[in-house]
Amino acid sequence: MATNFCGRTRREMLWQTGGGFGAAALTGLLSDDGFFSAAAQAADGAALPQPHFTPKAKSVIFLFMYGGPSHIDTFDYKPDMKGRDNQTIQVKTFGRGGRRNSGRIVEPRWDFHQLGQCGKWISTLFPHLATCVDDIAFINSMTADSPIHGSAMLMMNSGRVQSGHPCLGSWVNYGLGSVNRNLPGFVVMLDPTGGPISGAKNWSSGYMPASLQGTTFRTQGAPVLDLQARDGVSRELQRDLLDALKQQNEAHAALHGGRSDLTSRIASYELAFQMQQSAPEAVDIATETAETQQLYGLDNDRTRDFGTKCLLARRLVERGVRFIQVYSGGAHNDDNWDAHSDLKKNHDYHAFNTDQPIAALLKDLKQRNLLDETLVVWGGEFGRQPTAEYAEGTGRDHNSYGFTMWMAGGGIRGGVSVGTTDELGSAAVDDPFHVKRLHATVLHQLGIDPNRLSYFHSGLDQKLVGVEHVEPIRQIIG
Amino acid sequence: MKQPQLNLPALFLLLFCLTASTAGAQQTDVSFSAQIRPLLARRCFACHGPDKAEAGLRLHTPETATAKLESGHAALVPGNPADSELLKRIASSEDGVRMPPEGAALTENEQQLLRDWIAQGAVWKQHWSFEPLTRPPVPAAVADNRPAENMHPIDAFIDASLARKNLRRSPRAPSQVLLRRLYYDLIGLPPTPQQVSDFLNRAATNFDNAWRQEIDTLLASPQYGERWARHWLDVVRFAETNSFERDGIKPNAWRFRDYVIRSFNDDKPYDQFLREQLAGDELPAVTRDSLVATGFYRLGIWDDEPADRKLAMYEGFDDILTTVSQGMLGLTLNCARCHDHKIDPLPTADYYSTLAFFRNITPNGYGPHVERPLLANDSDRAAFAAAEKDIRESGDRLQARLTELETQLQKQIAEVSSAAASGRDLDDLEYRFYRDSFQQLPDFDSLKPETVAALDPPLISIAPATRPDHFGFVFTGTLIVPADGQYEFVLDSDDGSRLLIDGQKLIEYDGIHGLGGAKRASLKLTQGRHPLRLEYFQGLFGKGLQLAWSGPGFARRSLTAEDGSSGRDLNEFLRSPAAEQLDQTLVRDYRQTRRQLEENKRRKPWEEYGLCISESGTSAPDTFILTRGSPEAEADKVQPAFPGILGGGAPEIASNAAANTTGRRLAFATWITDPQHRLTSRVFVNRIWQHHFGRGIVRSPNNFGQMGEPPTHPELLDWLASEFVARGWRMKDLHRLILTSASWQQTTVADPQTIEIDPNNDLFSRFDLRRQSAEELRDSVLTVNGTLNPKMYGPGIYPAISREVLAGQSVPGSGWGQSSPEDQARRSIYIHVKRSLLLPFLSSFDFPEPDTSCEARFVTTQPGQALSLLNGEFLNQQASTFAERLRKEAPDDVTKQMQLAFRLALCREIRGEEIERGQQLLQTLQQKHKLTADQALQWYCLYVLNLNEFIFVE
Repeated sequence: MATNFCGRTRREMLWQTGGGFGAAALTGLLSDDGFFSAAAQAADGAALPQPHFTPKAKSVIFLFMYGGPSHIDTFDYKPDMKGRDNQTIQVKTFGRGGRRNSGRIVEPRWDFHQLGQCGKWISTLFPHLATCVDDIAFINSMTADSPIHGSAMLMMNSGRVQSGHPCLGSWVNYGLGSVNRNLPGFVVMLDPTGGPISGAKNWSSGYMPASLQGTTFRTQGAPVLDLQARDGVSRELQRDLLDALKQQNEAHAALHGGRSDLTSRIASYELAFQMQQSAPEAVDIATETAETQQLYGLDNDRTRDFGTKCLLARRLVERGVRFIQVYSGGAHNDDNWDAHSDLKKNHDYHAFNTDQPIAALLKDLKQRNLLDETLVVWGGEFGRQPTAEYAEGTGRDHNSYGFTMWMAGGGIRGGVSVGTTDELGSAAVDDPFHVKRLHATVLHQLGIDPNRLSYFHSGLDQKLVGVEHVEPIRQIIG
Repeated sequence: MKQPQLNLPALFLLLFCLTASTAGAQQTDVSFSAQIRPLLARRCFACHGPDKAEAGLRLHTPETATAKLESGHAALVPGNPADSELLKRIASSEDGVRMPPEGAALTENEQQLLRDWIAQGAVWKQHWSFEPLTRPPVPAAVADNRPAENMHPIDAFIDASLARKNLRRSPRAPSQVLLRRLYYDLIGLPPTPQQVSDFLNRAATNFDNAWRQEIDTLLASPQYGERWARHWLDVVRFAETNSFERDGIKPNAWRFRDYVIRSFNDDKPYDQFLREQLAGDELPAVTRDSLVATGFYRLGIWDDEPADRKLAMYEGFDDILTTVSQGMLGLTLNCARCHDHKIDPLPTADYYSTLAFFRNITPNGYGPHVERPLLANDSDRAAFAAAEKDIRESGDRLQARLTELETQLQKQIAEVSSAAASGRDLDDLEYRFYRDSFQQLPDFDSLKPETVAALDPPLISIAPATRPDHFGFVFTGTLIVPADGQYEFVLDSDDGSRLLIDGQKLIEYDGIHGLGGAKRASLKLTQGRHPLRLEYFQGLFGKGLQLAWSGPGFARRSLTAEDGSSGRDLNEFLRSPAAEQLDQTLVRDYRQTRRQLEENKRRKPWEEYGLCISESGTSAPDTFILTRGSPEAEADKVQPAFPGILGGGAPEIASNAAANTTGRRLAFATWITDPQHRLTSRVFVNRIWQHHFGRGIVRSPNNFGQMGEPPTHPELLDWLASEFVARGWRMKDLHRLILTSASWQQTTVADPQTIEIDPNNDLFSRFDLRRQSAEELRDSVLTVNGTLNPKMYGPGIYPAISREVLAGQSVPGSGWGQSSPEDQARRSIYIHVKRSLLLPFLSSFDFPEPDTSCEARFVTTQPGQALSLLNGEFLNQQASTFAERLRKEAPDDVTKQMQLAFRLALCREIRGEEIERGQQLLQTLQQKHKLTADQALQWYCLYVLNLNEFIFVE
């Protein structure tokens, strides 16, 4: 049996790679040769990726509104601001333009309506989502540590403003492992305009093995890098090549006592071969009915892209992918929700592109009885300020003192709103919820105790939520 | 969480273990440091340790652990297991009684260890790595009763530990296996067929001679440094960009990589290697290399736009402290930043008093404090000063000539046009605009400007501000002084401003205030060009900036655009049709002089600059303990001091005027490289061992503390460390020592009994097969097909990255250059390391994320790797080149081509059945899949490059 790897014991190695791409299958193979059962006996019980308690959710879809949508123009109703446009007021703000003590009010540019059984006020930016409010829990008092994109993105994705730490999707896969051997457990779908600021740092596995990092998935062509065989290469040819490879590799392994690092590598080729078939199948939306495609807005140029990604997210959830992150917005400036100059134009654009697809996703998951086990998270890296950034115009600067995110499904109570910001939406006042609380809630719904899921690195039991005890947001848990 | 019930086979296994360990326990006592302390630390200290004392119990010192508790019991009664409450509690299954209350119960084995230890008297010892380093005797040979002096000392230690389990070393691996292993180990590349056959011939007559010769050859080859430098680069978190939003480049970081390669190749003593990195600028003899070495401090992540500046500064210190303490000392001092270390005896005070050694270093950023000219000696310094002087004087000369020509031209212009014209007072005027709120002038150089642009015409103006309030400006330019004499400057601003001439502060008018209180100052200036710098910030309400000067021959002249006195631009006039009326010789002369002045400005006084450390003077700001790590909660002031557990003590520090430093880092470097240091040599020999054997004697190379793994061979480690220091900290000697041991030369295949008794190879009863590292794999592929470009050193290279991957960047392709095919075929260590865009091929094979120190790489196996090797662009291209080579070197003979492929890739002769398998594959490809012979051969090459035997090193 194989022994140590770079100073780590074999058991740790498996545990550490446990959630990786195809690792579940490797685990299976190893248990066939008796290794894993032995490990379970020898281990202190914590070694196998198992939930800490019965999970409510099996998968997470994180709809990342990159750039920072304005909460007071979407889900955080501020009637007192009506009619106060252009008033100069004393308010403490901190954004990319630094700290200020006063500013000129930009009153919300959209009307609000009270909707659903719960009577949640939301703006006319989201007419489709308006029909889903009773399934959604709004967290109106989010706070984060940084109002600067780079560090704020890292915070929302990895819980820290410093780079080098694993992202939420990596933690989830580390904690639970992947259930589909043929698909990555952490999938990221990017906006057509490009990746977010800091690129791959936003789906990095940090100090965990690279097999736990997010895999970027494309909606056209081969979804995963190097998945497709070279042009003109048939599956039969590949099979013949793999058979020859297997024959030689098995002869080699036999000479080395059938070490499991050698046999795992042999098996990894078989998995790759299977993936070449199953991954394209997972992204083949042609098999969806016309009705479904319409529901997601695939018949409209503006909604097709995000709609396709939402539909893919559902298909990936059905296939057991643990964590899917879909970006709305990419690159810089108004290619995302970062409305520094013209709020109206920016948010009208991005809200239209995403509203119908997101509502479709919630409805579709619900009608397939998947919403209960799928946690949907919506939000950006921060919100926006109540006052104008410049002397002219409606642009708002960043705001990490208070903003809104929402969750639906996966055991979350629908139709509730928790926490409040002040009458301007400039800062959270009642029940402020730090990003860590959101992360803790995600882990909790997946059956993981956020204060126990740890990874030993740099002399410390590192946790996604940090060393201090962090409670999930109980108020929204069903 | 519900724990899985113990099943029957598990119980069986457990009983087996217990029997085995009981048998062993009769010979050796329970080891406090290796077995008990780590167990207590892991399972108990969180509630009963240095940090917490639930129910009044602390288990980290003998006094507190044996004290009578509130309950009347004592947790530990030495020599008396029955009265020791701890044993009762850990054995209990009752909720609220059982300890620890969370997580799994202690295993039977762990409980037995504690019981035995208490029965043996519960003896406390200091953790092994904090004990002074002593040189243990080499054990007598056990296997054949040879005297110790005839044994290889490493084998004597290894054999002794094997003998305790009635095991023997595995036999020596076949020569050709050993040669391939040696090549990968020392240079990270496979041997050529010629090298293999030469060695086998020589080894057949005298293995030992041939072997030693081979080791020497490889250690002397430049590829040795390219292989071993990479191990150190992992430890020191080497990368060439800053991470975060812009992930900007660290200028000249590649020189640090080259420095490390050179240091290994030169067999630089390790103590010197450390001294150079820690204090290369403060050494008695500063060299170019020693300056480049200090780039060590600059390699970490750096947020150029932090939300909290003060915190960011301490994050920078923490990065350095973490890397130094883990990388050089095997200590996790970083765990003591917010509170006393929970496990190791490292109080928070130790963290901050160690930080004090680094407190005065300038922060990361851009500019002369980070990028310094590489001046090695007095003659360099003199040459640099002369070059600077020459540039300055040429500039002055040219400017004088230009002013003269300008005057003449202006005169002519005045004659040909009625427009009033004034001279230029400023040149090269550039502004940097900062959007941020300030209460007073900040250190602008440490901030990121939003815009940097030239001002033309060259008059100071705050008009480019992109917002009305909360911003800052730095204007830099050249003041053109028309004649020697006394000049007066008048500065007025709303809010703060500061004027510097020739780098010296002339007028300081900081703080929040309105216009109207102009400040004046005068000074003597020589005719010529003088650097001018004006800093300014605007808070809220009211703003303005006015600067004017007067001097010999002229009254008040404004240098700011605001008061509308800007003169007509001469160049504008020269471009107009009216210019034809001027004396054309004069115009030509003027233009030529102008061009010469421009060229002169572009001259750099020195060719080579390095990424270096610098300090902001010879005295440091105070260092305080920060309560819970918060920069806002300064507590006691601390002085530089070494961690108490390592002897502590105040250092002797002498500030260094020549280097403009406090001398603190040199004091630290001197301490860390003391031959008696308990950790430095142990930690480093462990790393060397790790890269020869696949794992360290201590399996946690960055953590020699109590949470680290205990050494499997403590005496061997100490012996190696003593030997290493005694032989002058020479790495190549240590390599020779290890590689000539029979322990290193063992086969990878051991007999079943050995594997059963030593399943994890804790005893080094055999050699562990290993997968090639990412770099080895890429470099090997290039070597096998004959295209590896051996060119060494220089700026990083950029292998092609597919469009799909670049699409993940916010600006696809940014920060990733293009390299020629020849450059792309260079060794992987030269690949540019961009934090947010690591080469996917390398990442896929576990190249580490470089944001923190990497002590040991992961070795993962995943289908993504198979996909990359089967379908990826790189491998397919290389397979095609490989096939071409085979065709060229073994034309028209498939069998010979296959023979050659095996020799090149696997370093051995192909076997009969392997030829048959190969022929079968080629036949299938040609007949069934209708490929040409050439196409089939390319697939065969891809097949060879995918073989486990190629990818693993035996």
